[in-house]
Amino acid sequence: MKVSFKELSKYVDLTNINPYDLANKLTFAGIEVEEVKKLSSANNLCIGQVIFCENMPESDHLHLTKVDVGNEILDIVCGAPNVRKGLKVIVAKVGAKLPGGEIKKGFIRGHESNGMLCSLLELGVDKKYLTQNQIDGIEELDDKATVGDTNVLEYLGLDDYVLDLKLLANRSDCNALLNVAKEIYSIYECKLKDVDIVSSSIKKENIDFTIYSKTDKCKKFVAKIIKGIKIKDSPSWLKYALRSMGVRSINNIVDIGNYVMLLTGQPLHIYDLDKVCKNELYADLSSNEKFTALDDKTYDLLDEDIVIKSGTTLECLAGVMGSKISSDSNETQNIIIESALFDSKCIRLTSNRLGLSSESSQRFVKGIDPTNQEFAIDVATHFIELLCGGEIASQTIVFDNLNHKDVVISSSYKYINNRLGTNFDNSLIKKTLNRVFIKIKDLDDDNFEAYIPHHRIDITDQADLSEEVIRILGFDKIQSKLPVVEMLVGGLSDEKKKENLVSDLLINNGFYKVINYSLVSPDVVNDFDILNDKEVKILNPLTVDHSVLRKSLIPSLLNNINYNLNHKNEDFKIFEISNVYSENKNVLVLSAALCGNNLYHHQLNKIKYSFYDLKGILESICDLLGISYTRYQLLNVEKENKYFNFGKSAYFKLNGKVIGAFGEIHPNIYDKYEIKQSSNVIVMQINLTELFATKTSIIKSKELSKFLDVRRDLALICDKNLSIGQIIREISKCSSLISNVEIFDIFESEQLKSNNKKSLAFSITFTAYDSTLKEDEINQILNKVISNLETNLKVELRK
Amino acid sequence: MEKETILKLKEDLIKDLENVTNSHDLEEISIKYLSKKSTLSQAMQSFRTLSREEKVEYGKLINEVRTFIESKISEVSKKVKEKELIDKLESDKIDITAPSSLISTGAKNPFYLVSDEIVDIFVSMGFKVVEGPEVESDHYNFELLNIPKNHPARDMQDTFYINSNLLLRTHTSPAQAHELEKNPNKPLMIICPGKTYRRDDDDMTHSHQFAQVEGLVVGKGITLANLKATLELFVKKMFGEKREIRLRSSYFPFTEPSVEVDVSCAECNGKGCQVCKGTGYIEILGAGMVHPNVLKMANYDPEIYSGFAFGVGIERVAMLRYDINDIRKIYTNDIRFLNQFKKRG
Repeated sequence: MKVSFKELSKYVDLTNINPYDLANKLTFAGIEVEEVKKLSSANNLCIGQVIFCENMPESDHLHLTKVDVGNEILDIVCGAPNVRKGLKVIVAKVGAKLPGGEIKKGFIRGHESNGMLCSLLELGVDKKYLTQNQIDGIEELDDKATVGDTNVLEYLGLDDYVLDLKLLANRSDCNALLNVAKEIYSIYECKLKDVDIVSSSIKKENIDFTIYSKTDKCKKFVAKIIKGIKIKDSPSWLKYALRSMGVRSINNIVDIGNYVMLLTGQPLHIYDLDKVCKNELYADLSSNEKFTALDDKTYDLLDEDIVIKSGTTLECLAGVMGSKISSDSNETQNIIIESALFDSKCIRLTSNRLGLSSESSQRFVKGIDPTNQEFAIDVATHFIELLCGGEIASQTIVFDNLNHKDVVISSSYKYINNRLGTNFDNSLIKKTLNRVFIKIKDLDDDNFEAYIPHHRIDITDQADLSEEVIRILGFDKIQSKLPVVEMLVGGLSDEKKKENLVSDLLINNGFYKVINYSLVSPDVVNDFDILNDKEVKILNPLTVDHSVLRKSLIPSLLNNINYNLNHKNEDFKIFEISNVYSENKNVLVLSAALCGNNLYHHQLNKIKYSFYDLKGILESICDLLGISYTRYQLLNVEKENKYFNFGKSAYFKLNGKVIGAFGEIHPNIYDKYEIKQSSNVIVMQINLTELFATKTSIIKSKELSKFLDVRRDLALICDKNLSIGQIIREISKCSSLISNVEIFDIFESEQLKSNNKKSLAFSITFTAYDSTLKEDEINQILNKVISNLETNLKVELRK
Repeated sequence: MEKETILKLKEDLIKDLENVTNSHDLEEISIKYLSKKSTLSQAMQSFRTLSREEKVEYGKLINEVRTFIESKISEVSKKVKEKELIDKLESDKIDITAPSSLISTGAKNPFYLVSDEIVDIFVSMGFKVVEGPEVESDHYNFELLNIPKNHPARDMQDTFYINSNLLLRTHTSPAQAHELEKNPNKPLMIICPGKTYRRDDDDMTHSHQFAQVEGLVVGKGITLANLKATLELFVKKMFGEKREIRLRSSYFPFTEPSVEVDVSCAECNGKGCQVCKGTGYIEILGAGMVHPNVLKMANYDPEIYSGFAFGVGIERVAMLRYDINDIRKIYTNDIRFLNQFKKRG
C-alpha cells in the first residue's frame, strides 16, 4: 500500500511529524515502511511563460525561446516539440537540481541557454502516470498558473512523500488510508480529523430496486443509486492524490471509486444503471457460465466463483472484475454503486485461477472490515455529488445477513504482564489498549473484557492484546530475563554425533564438505540411485532442473567436479552428507568423490587417486564406528552396471546387506557429465542410516602378549586373477597363532605375465600368549600354510 | 734420553697441531706422538735402565708430557670432528623453501561453519537437537502452525507441492509441531537445523533451497522477556560481546507477539554504514511467543504452558559474516571458494 503523506495529513494531524520518523515508528510498530519516497526532489523551479519561440536555424528540432519568469526574461534553448509562444511552462533555472543532474548555463550551437523547460518526467514522475504527450514534450500548465511562482512542486502536487507500506498478512486493515491514520494516532497520540461528509438531500423518487444475496459467500450487499451524473476529468487534487498512491487517473467516477477504496479499504463497483438487466442485483455462486469481462476476454466460471446477477444476466465477477455489459463508461449518466462483503477464500480461488488480481480483489483476499460497507458508500456519494453532480436517487439499499457482533476478549492485566515478562501498571495497559481503539470494561481488579474495533479483524485472542500493548509501548521496555527451566537432557542424537565424526574424519583427510540442491533434473535422478525406489516429483517446479528430489548425491558431486574442472581446479576431494528421498524411503547418505591426483608433495610427487583411496576411507570410517572388518565384505560390481567401471569398483556389504558402493565411474558417466576420462573420478556412496544403526559393543581391552612376536616372510607364485584377500584369508585360517598377514610386494615380470601368473610376498606375524614360540612350532605352521595354499588355491612357493 | 728431548715434544706437538684440519692428519699426529714408535714410547723403553730415584723423576716427566699430548690431541680432535660434522651437514643441506609434504586438510562450506556454530551455542545452553523431515505434510507445515487452508500467510511462503497433502517444508517450524506432539505438557528446549524450500527464483539473495535453525522453549511461565534474554545471549556468543539486539513488531501465524530481531551492525557498531544500509542494525532472526492455538493443537494447556520460538537463516548469517555477496556461491562449491574456509573456530 502506497500512502501519500499529504493525503494522510488530511485525516490526522501531522504537524511536527517528519515522514522519515513516521516511517521508522510505523516499522517498529509492525507496519513496515519499505521506502519513503519524495515525489520530486527538483529545486530552483519557477513557472514561466514563453513569450518568444522560433526554430533554431542550425537545427531540425531545437527552438530558441524567451521565457518570462516574472522578474526576468531568460533565453532558453528547448527541444520539445510542443513548445510555443504563450505556453505556461515549468522552468528549471541555472543551478536547479533535477533527478537527472544540475542545470548549468550552456551554449548550444552558439546560442546561450539559461535554464531548461521541463516535463514531469524530468521532475521525477514515473512514466506510468503520464500520457505519451507528457512523456514526449514539456508539461503544459493551465492558465491558472502564475508566472514567477516558485512553488512549482506544490502547484503540481509533487511536494509530497510516499510511504510504501509492506503490510504483513495480519494488518490488512492498513490497506485503508483512514486506518493508517488511526495507527498514526495510536503511535503519536496526535489528533485524528473526521472525514467531512456533506449530508445530501435525497430526491424523493420511487425507485423499485432490490439487492440481495443467494449465497452465504456474500453476507452483506449495500448499494446506492445516483442519477444524472456527468463524467469528466477529475480535479487536480484527486489526480495528484491517486498518483501519489500509485493509481492512474481515468475519469471522475472511476477515480472516486478508487479513491474511496484507498481511503476506506472497501472495494466498490459501479454499474451503469441503464445497462443493468432488471431492477435487481443479487450475489450468487456461478453455475459454470461463461463470463465476458471488461477486458473483453471471456472466462469460464466454476461454482466457486461469486457472481453478481440481475435476472439471469451476469453483471459482475464479484470482487474481481466487472462485465462488459454493465460497467460504467463515458456515456454513463445513472449509476448504482455496490459495496459488498465477499468471502475471501472464494475471491482468492477465483482470482488465482483466472490470474486476475486487482487492488479490489487483493483487499477481499486479505480481509476487509466487515462493517464498513455503508460508510464507504456514504463517502463515495459525498464525492460523487461534489465532483460529478447528479442526484441521489435512493436511500442506501442494504442486504445484511452477517449479524456482525463485536469481538469481545476476556483477559487480565496479569496475563498480559505474564506473557510479556513485564510489570506494567494496569492503568498503563488499559490506556495503551485504548490508544489502539480497544475499549476496556474492567470486571474486577485484574480481569477485563476488551472490545475490539471492527477494523482490526486480526485481533481474536488475548495473546493479540499483549502484542498490541508491547508494540505501542515499544519492545525496548522489556527487561531481558533468562528463562528458568527444568533441567533437560540436551545435545545431539547418537546418529548426529556419528555424522559429525565421519564428517571430521573426511575433512581432516583433505576433503571439502559441500552442499548441493536437493531438487535435481529428471535426467539424472536415477543415476547411482541408492534407494531403488520411485522418485518424488514436484507438482509445481520452477524449472525442470529442480523438479525431482534426488535419490543419490553422486550426480550433484559430479556436477561440482564438472564445474571445478572447468575452472581449472583439477585435484581435489569432496563429500556431502544429506538425506535423500523417494516415494517410500528417507535415508541419510554419505557421498564422497576424488578427482585427479593425490598431491603427496604438491606437484613434485603425485599419484592418481584410485579405488584404494576410498577403500581406505571406508575402512577408517568403520574403525571409527567400531565396525569390525569381519562384519563387512566387498563384492565385485556386475558387468552390466551402468554407473561404475565394474573392473575398478565394489559393493559394500555389511551384515549381509549391500549398503553402498564405490569405485571409478563408468566411461559413459564421464561422457554424460561432460568430464574427461583423464580427469580420473572415483566416487563412493554409503547409506549412513543403515551404517549408523549397526550395533557395536563397548571396547574391552585385551592383555598384550608378554612374548615377542615372530615374523616370517613367504614369496608365492599364483594365478594372475587370484585375489590377495583370498590368500590372506587362507593363511590366517591355518593357525590361531597367526595374528597378522600382510602383503609387502607384488611382482609381475613379462615371463610371469605370459604364464598368467603373478608373484606375491607376504609377511606373517605369529603371536603366542603362553610361551615363547619355538622354531619347530613355527615351521610346522608354515608347512601347513604352504600345503593349504597349494591344495586350495594352487599357490606355489617361489623358488 | 735427554729430559730436554722429551720436553721438546710439547713444543713440536703444538707446532704440528697448528696445521691440522681433518681427522686423517690428526690421526697421523696421534701416531707420531703416541704410537709404540714414538719418541715417548722409546723413552719409556729406556726406563728399566734407570735408578729408582731417576725412575720417579723420569716417570713423572713422561707422564706429564703424555697427559699433555693426549689432552691436546683430544682437544683438537673434538674441534676437528665438530667441524667435520658441520661440513657434512652443510653438504646435506636441503632447500627449506621447496614445497612441503602435503598434509591435506579440507574445509567445510561456510554454510556448515555457521550451522554447526549455531547448533553448538544452543547445545551448550542445554538445547536438544532434533531434525524433522524435509518432505512434510500440509498438516505439520501449515495446519498445526496456525496456518489453516486459504490463510493469507500461505501466500507468504510459496510452496513446492508433491501432491495435495505432501510438500517440501517451507520452514523448519514443523519440527516444533512434531516435538510438541510427542510429549504434551512437558517442558521443552529444542533446536532444529535443516533445509527448507520455497518457490523463489534463484538470484543473489534468494534461493529455492535455504536453511534455518528453528528454536523452541516451552515451559511454565515462559515470557517475552525470556526470549529477549536468550537471543541476546546467542547473539553475543555468535556475533561478539559488543552486539546489541532490538526487537520490531512483526507477524508470524504461529507466534503472538511476533518480532523481527535486529543485531547492531558489527561493521559500524550501530552508527550506520553500507553493510547495514545506514540503519545501524541488521535483520537476523524472526521470533515470538508461541501462539496459544499452536500449543492447544499439540494438546498443551496454554493456560499453564507458554513458550517462545525463533528462526535464524543460515545462509544469511554466513553471507553477512564472511562477506559473501551472492547466495549461489554457497551452492556452487568452487574449491577456490571453499579453500578460504579452512579456519575452524
